[in-house]
Amino acid sequence: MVIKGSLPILSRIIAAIFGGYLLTQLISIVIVAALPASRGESLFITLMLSFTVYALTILWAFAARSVLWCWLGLLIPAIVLALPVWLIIQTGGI
Amino acid sequence: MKETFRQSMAWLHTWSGLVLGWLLYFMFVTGTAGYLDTEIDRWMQPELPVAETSSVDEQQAVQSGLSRLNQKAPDADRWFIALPQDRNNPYLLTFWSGADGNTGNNVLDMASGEPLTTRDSHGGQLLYQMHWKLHYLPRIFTNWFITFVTMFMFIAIITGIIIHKNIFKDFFTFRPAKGQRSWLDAHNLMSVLSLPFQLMITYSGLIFMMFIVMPVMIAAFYGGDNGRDKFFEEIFPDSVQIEKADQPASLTALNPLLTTAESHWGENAVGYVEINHPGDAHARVTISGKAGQGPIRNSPKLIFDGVSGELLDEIPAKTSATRATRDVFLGLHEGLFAGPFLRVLYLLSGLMGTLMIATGLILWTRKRRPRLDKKRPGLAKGVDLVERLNIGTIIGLPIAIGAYFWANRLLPLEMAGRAEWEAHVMFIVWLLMLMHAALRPLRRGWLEQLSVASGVFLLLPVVNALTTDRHLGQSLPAGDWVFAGFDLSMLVLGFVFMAIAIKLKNNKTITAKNFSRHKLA
Repeated sequence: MVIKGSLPILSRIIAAIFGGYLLTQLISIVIVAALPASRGESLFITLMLSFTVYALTILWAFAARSVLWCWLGLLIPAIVLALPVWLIIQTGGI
Repeated sequence: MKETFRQSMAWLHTWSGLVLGWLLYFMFVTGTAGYLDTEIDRWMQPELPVAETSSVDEQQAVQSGLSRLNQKAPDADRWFIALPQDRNNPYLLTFWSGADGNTGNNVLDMASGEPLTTRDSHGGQLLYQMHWKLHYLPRIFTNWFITFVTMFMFIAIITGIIIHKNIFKDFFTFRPAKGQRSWLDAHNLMSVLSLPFQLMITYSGLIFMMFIVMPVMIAAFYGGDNGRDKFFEEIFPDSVQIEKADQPASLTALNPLLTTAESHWGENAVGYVEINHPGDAHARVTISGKAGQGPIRNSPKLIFDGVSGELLDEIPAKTSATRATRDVFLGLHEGLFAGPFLRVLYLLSGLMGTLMIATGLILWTRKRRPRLDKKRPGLAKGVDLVERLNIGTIIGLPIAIGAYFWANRLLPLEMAGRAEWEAHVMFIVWLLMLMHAALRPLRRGWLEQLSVASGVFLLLPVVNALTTDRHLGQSLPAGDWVFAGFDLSMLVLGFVFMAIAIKLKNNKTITAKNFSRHKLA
């Protein structure tokens, strides 16, 4: 009974903590590349911002109207950002 | 969840606050105590003289430190002298570390340069450090875990703001003696009144850990074997150390360097002198200004060649705007720059944060008691567990900290591992309080622990008087506000716990019988 009822919640918790963290890294990498400052400075600034980004992904995970939307809302941006992030890493930064 | 946004945020607020609430309470209690860490240090080492920071002869202090270091650790790789500055740095300190990892330190008497002996204690600094290092746990775990816990706090605050219907009205709402509603009002009042502080303290806490917990994005731009090192060298250029030359060369005289510092910063502005590779051809002397001059948690530095005395580099306190932003966040978190009035505000805010958490934890049980029925045995067990954890932590942890202070006065001075045992006593007592809370009927559990807390704090100044001569009878006439303030604060705490115990005892509507089902409470 308890297990059945809590599967959706467990799913959202995993999405929030781990999915949110990974998406935060992807978003942050894109922000660092987009900022006009030097590589080190941009990274420094984005590190400070990253916790806000993470918090927003966590809020999404629990606010989404279904568990499916919760995961899609994290996975779709992650897939969209995957290629730009890969390119950014390959070209070594900005 | 087919709920509204507000409902899901309310759910998230409850659970992010509850699951780690007792750990957050621990962090807030030790963090708030940390604002008085150096005062607690001094109370716990009563052999130290009253600190004298107003008239310091810099050159003499540095010479005293230097001769002590030469005597004690001539082959060390790094020497460090901290001058008496303010309440955060009340004494002349020397510290050394060798290439082999050995370290040592001394507190020196300003006049004679001789080391002062005190009882072995980690003082208030240990309480403050538990705030982020906890205790008994490896750093690699606590770094990540504490950040994880702080994210729970951050989410709890954000969701708390989101679900709030009328923040402005809550400034003026407190309906006493209405049970659950009163607890909600108290929780809202504590949170809303100190909200800017809570947001700042939580976010700056996260920023403290940012280099550790976001390694993926760092590695993306600074990959490879030494990528991280290169990143730190780039953003903290003044931390780059020169290698030892392995050629002996005598250290330059320091007095001219101090004079140079004075010409840059004015009189009495030197805080620290650091000497890397003393006695080596690549020796470096770094003179730093006093800490805590403003929220930027940085002081200006002058770097000299340790053999020729030539000024190599000058690094201002504020470098780039980015670094300064981080430094201000960290500086605001630590509050070292705060004068007496602002420090009282910091303490009150810390206390309000602590009460915010405590009232939240208690509110959770009060809301669920009326809903208890036989069809939901899980809920009854949950409420019982939370209530007992509440007793053992909200009251039990302060008792344990009181026990830390009692141990400081009562453990034999010559005992081996004395400093570690003061901490062991604290955690043993906390464990005992949790066990007591697990075993006693709920109402008696609260009353008994409140009484114990009251006794522990009221009697502490008496214990102080019986074991040292720096008691209120001496400290008040002498104007020694570190000792008098500590003892008086303990009395205040004791009376507060007593008042709560009396109020609970006199509340006739709550009896032992209906405590677990009380609808209004």
